[in-house]
Amino acid sequence: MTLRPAIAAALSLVTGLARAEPFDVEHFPGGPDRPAIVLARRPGQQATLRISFAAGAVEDGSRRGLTRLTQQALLAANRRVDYQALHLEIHGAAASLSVETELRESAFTLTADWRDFPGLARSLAEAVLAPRVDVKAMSRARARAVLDGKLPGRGSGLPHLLASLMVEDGRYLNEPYGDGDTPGTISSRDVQAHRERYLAPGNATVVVTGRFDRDEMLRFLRTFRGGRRSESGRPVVQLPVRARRRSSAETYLLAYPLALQSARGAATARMACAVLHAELWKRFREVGIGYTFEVFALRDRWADLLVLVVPAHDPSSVDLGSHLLEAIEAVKAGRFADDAFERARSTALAEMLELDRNPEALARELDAGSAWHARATAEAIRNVARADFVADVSAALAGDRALVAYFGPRP
Amino acid sequence: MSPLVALLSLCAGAPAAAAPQVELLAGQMELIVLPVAGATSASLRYVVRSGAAHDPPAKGGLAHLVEHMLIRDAKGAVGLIEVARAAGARVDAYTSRDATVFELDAPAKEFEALARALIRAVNDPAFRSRDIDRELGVIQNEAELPARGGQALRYIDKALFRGQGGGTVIGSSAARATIERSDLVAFYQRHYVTSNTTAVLTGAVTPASARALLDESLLLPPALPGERPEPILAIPELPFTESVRAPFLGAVMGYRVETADHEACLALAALVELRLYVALQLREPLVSSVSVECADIRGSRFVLAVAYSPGVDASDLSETMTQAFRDAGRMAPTSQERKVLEQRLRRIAERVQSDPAALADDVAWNASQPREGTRTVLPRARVGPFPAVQELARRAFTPERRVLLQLSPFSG
Repeated sequence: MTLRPAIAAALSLVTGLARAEPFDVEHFPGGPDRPAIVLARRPGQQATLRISFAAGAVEDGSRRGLTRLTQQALLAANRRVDYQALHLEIHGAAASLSVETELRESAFTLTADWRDFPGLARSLAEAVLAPRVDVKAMSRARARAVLDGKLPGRGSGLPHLLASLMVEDGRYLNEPYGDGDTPGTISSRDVQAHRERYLAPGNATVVVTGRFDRDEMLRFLRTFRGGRRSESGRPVVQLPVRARRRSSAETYLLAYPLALQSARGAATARMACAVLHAELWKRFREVGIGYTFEVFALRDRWADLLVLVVPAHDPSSVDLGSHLLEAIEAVKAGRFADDAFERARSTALAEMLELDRNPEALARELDAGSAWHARATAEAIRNVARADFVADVSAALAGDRALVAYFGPRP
Repeated sequence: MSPLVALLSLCAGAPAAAAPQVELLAGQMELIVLPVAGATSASLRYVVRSGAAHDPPAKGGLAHLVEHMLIRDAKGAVGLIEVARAAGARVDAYTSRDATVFELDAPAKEFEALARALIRAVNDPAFRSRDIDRELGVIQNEAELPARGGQALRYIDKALFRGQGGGTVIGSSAARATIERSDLVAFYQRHYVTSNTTAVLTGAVTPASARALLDESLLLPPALPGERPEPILAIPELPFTESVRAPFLGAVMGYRVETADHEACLALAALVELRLYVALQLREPLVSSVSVECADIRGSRFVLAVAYSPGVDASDLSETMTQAFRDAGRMAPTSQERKVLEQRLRRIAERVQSDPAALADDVAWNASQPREGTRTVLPRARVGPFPAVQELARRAFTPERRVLLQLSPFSG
């Protein structure tokens, strides 16, 4: 090669970017002690690194907040990384780093300008996947975990609420951040053991999206090893569930299990969300109820669910619950116009494309081996026939597999 | 520029917005166009410079209801918002105290048709009585939803401008119940005039395509001299100090700065934020969040810091914040601070400049601010030199310009 290295590098970047197509995703299954790797290069200015582990509040058992504390230790009590220097570098780059703890998952998500990304991603990956935990500095990690544990809700959100209604296993009631006191009672040895068992490379999935050097990133990520994949499967989900709970705000919450292993299943779920959203929008607009509702697919390591959340307060005394159930019945029975079906197809594809362009959103969509965000799923959405869709959605929204919950001051 | 230089420059930086093209069209309508090289989407912000502050007495919520009705009245069976959704676009609108803003972000190839539909919807309302009742029902539900964040800033807004139109955007249910169709028509005729409007177009657009879009879509007649509603300029009551009992520890602190100091204001806010971030989050985890912004409240500009802690260890939060503001005038940024700040401000500016939606929001916000003249004052994107920051801190961070709201479970 006669080109100077800088020019050659610039040309390879340009040609590399030109190859990245929407929905192109490379999956590299992990070995017994290596992380699974998912890469999705896209043009643009940003890149995201997301390192997730198959462990969360459920794996805390009786030591609530253990996973959260372990995550904080990987950043604040780790000889591999200077907490303050890393965060100042992130701040200077106007980048973001979020530390997330869910019921069955914990993750670190970094998003940065592509020019700052390589250095920051390297620092974070080395800290999280090849740590040298400093027991003497554990008090710093504990102080951060204690503050997290005092936050309202302690990291609990909708998945937590759904699990509390659908899963009998009491560990699913654990608040992801524990409480303000428990981190002080957890020993450094427990943290080390938890990290080695659950927050190790072998139990990790690393997703990199956006603008980055694919070959260099893959080579770098393949250097990490240790630990093994956690074998715990999904819990038994109890359905159907009918629940009424006391709450200061009124809300209807409905959930249906989804099968997302195949492209057709993922396509049905995406289109079902679009059709239901449009149907509710139309009905609520006609009767003057409101536009504040959500229909989405919740994908979690413990369940995949189609979820509808509708604030129920209705001063005009319209029976919101009946509107909601009528809309679902209409979709199940295929009682929607052809143009509504075609609009749902366009909406589902447009949403996939929009996510595909946003590195951080895309990183959250992707996980190892899933059909959720894939070219085949986009193809299935483009090609699905109305009759097939109605048959699939009718089965997906079966009432005997539903959670129907109402929250209000007088349930 | 040689092809090689062009190639390298393409690889090295973010696509940047060209210099804004600002012009006054017929009827004194303001058009601001910011093309973004290489953008695959475009954004429109149709800014009517009247909002809740212009609601007639006892008709609180009128400007907001007009905004709802204009979107509802869009032609088509399913509504513009759903049509946009299916095209991978977003249509939305909001009413603030000073303005009503209609928003569109769309892929380039869908933009023109959707922009035309949105402008026509805003320009050609029907205000059907049956729909007014339904939309009032929608707004009643909106009013019942719990407010999401920002309560402390809303409190400050109300307190600083006491007696100067402190009503809410949404209005009370009693006030909304008195609104009739004739009120909507009167408000619309008075405020939705070309001389009270700014159209902001960004991304995959050109000044020529923007002008052509408005030529084809705009249905309003050019406003006559004197038809422009008077802006409502409010004056903050400063200094402001108050303690309020809350279930957590927190503080909002800041100082009023002159609007002309925008460039230095951004850098000064960044400097104070960096120092507070290091003191309150990096050295010790005392607060869960801290941010400092150069913020506009009813046309007045403030450097405003907000910090919050669910614990009780940050009991000297307001002292720490006071110290950080004081030090901004006394201590020049260190070389390390300067490096961090320059990079951060450059990256933020680049991100906004390359994102049509963010760029449109930024410009629309400036266009929304109450002002005497007809033209929007657009701040320069470049970050100012640091000595000016220190000078501004000394000039602006004085006791008579201060805002301090303390939130605590123990006092107030």
